[in-house]
Amino acid sequence: MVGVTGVDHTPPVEAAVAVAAVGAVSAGALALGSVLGGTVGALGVAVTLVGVLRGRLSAVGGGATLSGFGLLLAGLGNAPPGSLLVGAVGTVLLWDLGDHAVGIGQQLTAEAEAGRLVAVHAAVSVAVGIAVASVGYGIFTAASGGQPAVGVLFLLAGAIGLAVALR
Amino acid sequence: MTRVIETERWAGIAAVALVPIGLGVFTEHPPFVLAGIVGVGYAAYARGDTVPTPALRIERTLDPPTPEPGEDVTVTVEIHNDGGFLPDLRVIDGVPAALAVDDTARFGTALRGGGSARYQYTLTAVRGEHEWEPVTAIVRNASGSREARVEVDTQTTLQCHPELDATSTLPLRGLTAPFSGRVPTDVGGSGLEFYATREYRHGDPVRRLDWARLARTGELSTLEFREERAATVVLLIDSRRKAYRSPDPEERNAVERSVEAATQAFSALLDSGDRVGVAALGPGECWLPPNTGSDHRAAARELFTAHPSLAATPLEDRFLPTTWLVKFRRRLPADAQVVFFSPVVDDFAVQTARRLDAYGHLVTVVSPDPTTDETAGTQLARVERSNRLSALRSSGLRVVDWGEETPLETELERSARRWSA
Repeated sequence: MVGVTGVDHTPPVEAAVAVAAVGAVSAGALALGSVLGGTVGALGVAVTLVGVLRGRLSAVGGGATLSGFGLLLAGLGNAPPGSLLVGAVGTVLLWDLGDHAVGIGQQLTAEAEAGRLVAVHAAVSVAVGIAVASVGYGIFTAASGGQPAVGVLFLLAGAIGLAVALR
Repeated sequence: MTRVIETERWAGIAAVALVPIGLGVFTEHPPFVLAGIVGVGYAAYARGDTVPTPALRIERTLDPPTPEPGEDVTVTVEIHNDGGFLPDLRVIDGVPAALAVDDTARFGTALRGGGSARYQYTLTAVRGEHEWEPVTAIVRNASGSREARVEVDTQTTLQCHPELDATSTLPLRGLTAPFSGRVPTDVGGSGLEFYATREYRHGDPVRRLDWARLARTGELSTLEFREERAATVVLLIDSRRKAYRSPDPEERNAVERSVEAATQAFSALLDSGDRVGVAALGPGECWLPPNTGSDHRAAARELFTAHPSLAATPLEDRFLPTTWLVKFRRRLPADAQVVFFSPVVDDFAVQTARRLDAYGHLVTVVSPDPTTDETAGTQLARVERSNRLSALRSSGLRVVDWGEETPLETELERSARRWSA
C-alpha cells in the first residue's frame, strides 16, 4: 500500500514466505480430512497472502476467517482429529503472522530490514502451536481412549473454563 | 520510564475458540473440541507472555562526519542489548528534521541478551548544524500481546559547512565607502576608465596632465578617471517562516537557496575587497557587522553553518517586524548597500526592500523562485510574486529573479548585462 507520502508500507517479503508456508501446511491438512474444507481453507490462505503482499489488514482478517470456515466445514465433514488440529493451528498462525507482517510494514516501511524479526516471531508462534497441539492431542487421546463421553466432557469443561478465565 | 501497553491483537481469540467447541457439542463430534483447545492455548500464551524490560544502548556514527552540502552521509546505528532477550525490537532513529533520508531510518530485529545489531541508512547533507533526536525503540513480547516504548538518547551532531567559494561576482550598485575597490563611481580621480577633463589646478600630478591638449591649445588641463572604490554590503536573508517555501517537499526551500547564494556572494565580495556583513530578516538575533579579513570569513562560515535563524527549518520564535526594522537601521552603516535575498512571497518583503532603498541604502534583490504552475492556486501565487517583483523594479531596485533550474551565476550574468545596458 503506497500512502500519500509516497512511502512504501508493504510488509517484508520474508513474512509473505512464512505465511505461504504455514498456509500450505494448514490447507493441506484440511484437504486430507475433507475436500470442501481444504478448498475453502486454501481460498482463505490465498486471500491472506494477497493481504500480506499488499499490506491490507482487512484482507488478512478475511483470509483467516475464511480459513476458519474451512476448518469448521472440514470438521462437519468428519475430518480426523489430527487434520483439524493442524488446520486450527494453521488458521491461528495465518492471522498471527499476517497481522504481524502488516504491522511491520506500517511501522517500519518496506525498505527497512526486518528479516530476523519476522523469522523469530514465526518460529516462536509455530513452536507454541506445536506445543499446544501436542498437549491437546495427548489429553484428547488419553481421554477418549476409555470413556469417550466423560473424558471429552471434562476436556470441554476445562476448555470453556479456561476460555472464560482468559477472556 | 517505560510504559507497557496492551496491543490487544489477541483480543477475542478465546471467544472465537468457543465456536468450534460449541459446534462440537451440538454435532457430538469430539475433534471440534480439539480445534477449540488450540485457540484457548494461544489465548493463554498471549495472556501469560510478559514484555521484557528493554535496556538498550545506542551508538551512532556518521561517515563522513563533516560532509559538504549535498554529499551523501552513511549513518550506522549500533544497538546494544544490556538486558534480556528481546524477541521483537523495532528501532526508529530520530533523524534531524532538515535532513532527508534516502532509504529508511527504521529497523526491526530480534536481539539476544548482551548481543548487538547494526543497521545503516543514507541521507543527504544540507548546510547547518543538525542534532539527532533520541532513538525510539519499541519492544514487544514474542506473542505481540504487550509492548513497551523507550527513547534512547545518544548525542550526535552533523556539521555541514557551506563552501565559501566565489563562483560568481555580484554586480553592486554605486554606493561606496571611501576605500579603493572595484565598484566604478561617478567620482573623478585616479583610476582606469576615462571620466572627464578639467582645468589644471596647482598641485595636480604631472602624469595626469592632458599633454595632447597642451600641445594643441597651449592650455593646461588635467585628466580625470573614474575612481573605483570598495563598497560596504550587507547581505540580508529573508528567513521568516513564510520564506520557507519550496516547489515541492523534496526540493530545497527558498531560505536554503538564499543562504547558498549569500555564501557565494559573501566570498566574491570579500575577495574583491569589499566590506561584507550578514543579517537575517526573521526571528532570532542574526547580525554580522560588515568587515574584511580572514577572521571575518571564518566568522561568516560559522554563522552560515550554525546560526538558528538561517537553519534549514524555520525558527519557532516570534518575529516583530517593526522592532526588527528599527534595530536593523540603527546597526546598518550609512554607506552600506543591501543585497536582499528573499523569495518575495508577501508584501512585507517588498515594503522592507523599498523602505531600505528610500533610506539611501541602495538595494539589490536576489529572489529565489519557489513557485510552480501545477494548480490554479500556485499559478496565482506565481503571478502575485511576479507582480511584486515588477513593483520593486519600477521603484528603481535591481531585481534578480532566480529560477529553480538556472544556476545563480547564469542569472547574475544575465541581470548584469541588462543593468549595464
